[in-house]
Amino acid sequence: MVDASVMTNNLTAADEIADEKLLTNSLILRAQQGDLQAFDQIIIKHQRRVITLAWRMLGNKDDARDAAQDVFIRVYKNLSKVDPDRDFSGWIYRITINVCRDLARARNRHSRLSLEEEIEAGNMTEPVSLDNTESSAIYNQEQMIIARALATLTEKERAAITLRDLEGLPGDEVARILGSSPTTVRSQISSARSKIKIFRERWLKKGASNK
Amino acid sequence: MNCPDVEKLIPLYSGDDLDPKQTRIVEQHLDSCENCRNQARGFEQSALWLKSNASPEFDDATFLQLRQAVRLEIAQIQTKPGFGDWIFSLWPHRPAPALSAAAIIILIAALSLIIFRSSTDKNSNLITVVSDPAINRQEKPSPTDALQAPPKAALRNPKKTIARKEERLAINQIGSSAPTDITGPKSEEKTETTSSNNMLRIELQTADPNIRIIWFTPKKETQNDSK
Ligand SMILES: [Zn+2]
Repeated sequence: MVDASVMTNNLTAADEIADEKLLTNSLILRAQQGDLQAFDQIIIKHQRRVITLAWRMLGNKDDARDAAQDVFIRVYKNLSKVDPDRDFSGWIYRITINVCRDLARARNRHSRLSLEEEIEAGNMTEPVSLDNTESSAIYNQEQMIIARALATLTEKERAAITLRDLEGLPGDEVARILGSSPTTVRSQISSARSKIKIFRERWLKKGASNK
Repeated sequence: MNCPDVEKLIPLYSGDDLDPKQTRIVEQHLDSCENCRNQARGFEQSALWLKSNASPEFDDATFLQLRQAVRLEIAQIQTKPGFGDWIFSLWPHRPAPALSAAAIIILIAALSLIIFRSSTDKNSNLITVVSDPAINRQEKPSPTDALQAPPKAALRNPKKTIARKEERLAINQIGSSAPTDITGPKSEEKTETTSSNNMLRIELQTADPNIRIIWFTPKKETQNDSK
């Protein structure tokens, strides 16, 4: 007789993905029937990804938390429309992007700064060498700079580079989530990467000249 | 391919977003061009910098707060007032659901009664129309008038009630066109005879208050003449 743990160890990555999908499907079905504990499990499974994506889109933790709350309420309200066999994660990504866009517009905070404005702004901190990122203070400072770098992008560029480079989704999936053509999304990704690179280089140069 | 053409492709090349053919072309150029190689390296470093710093830490308390807030909002969504709740929101204390159900039944019963009454009203109107014009003129309401309920009916369909009134008025005029003075009796109880110019009106009240016998007859002036 084969031991259950041995069976588990023998599971391939594909089996694990299939199991994960089954679990998600069962949670969705239970939540659709009004099981709030199942819905809680759905939140637990997606909360980190949603709040992180929201931070990347909005640039601060308070807004990211508010956005995550809105995302899960929208998920709850639209649960009956969900087909568990379709791409649930992609659907949550799409809701998150939409919620962040709405939130940014409502708060009128998504006032994009140009690269020049950002770099010329006196509050630009000195660059920190990457091998020092153990320190949480330095880490937070770097995050602040990243948030500023992302703030120089257009809303669409920001969504495209976040999904492609930070979430690691394939280009076609990014296009599907954003409701754009793959060509448009590639152009947005290319432009966003160039802007981030220029921002970083200028920031490093400014830090070096301040020393 | 020259440098400007390749430079346009490097951002996508650095993220592995070019098709195999374009990738090969860029790689061939990079082998021989130091400037473009530096460009490509710059994109790689930039991507690494972005990835390693764009994942802020969120503690467990944040996630707990998030789930609590979501649960609270869902609870609010679930208790949003429905029709029954809306009715009873008019009362200061919310009655038990069983009471709500009972009240809805009473409401339905009341509605059907009103509809039933309205159809009865139409019948009573018919009685009024065929009744004697003299009775309609009486200041005291006759029993048939009393049956004709009205303010409710008037509220439901004021136009209809006005039409009925006009109908009655027309009949009254026909009645008065008769050569009779219909100043009419002030009291219903007693059997009465009223005289007019040349017609005699005789009313008899039966035991049934709804039935009154009225007839007109020419005055027997000839009798006086003969006396
Ligand atoms: Zn070149």
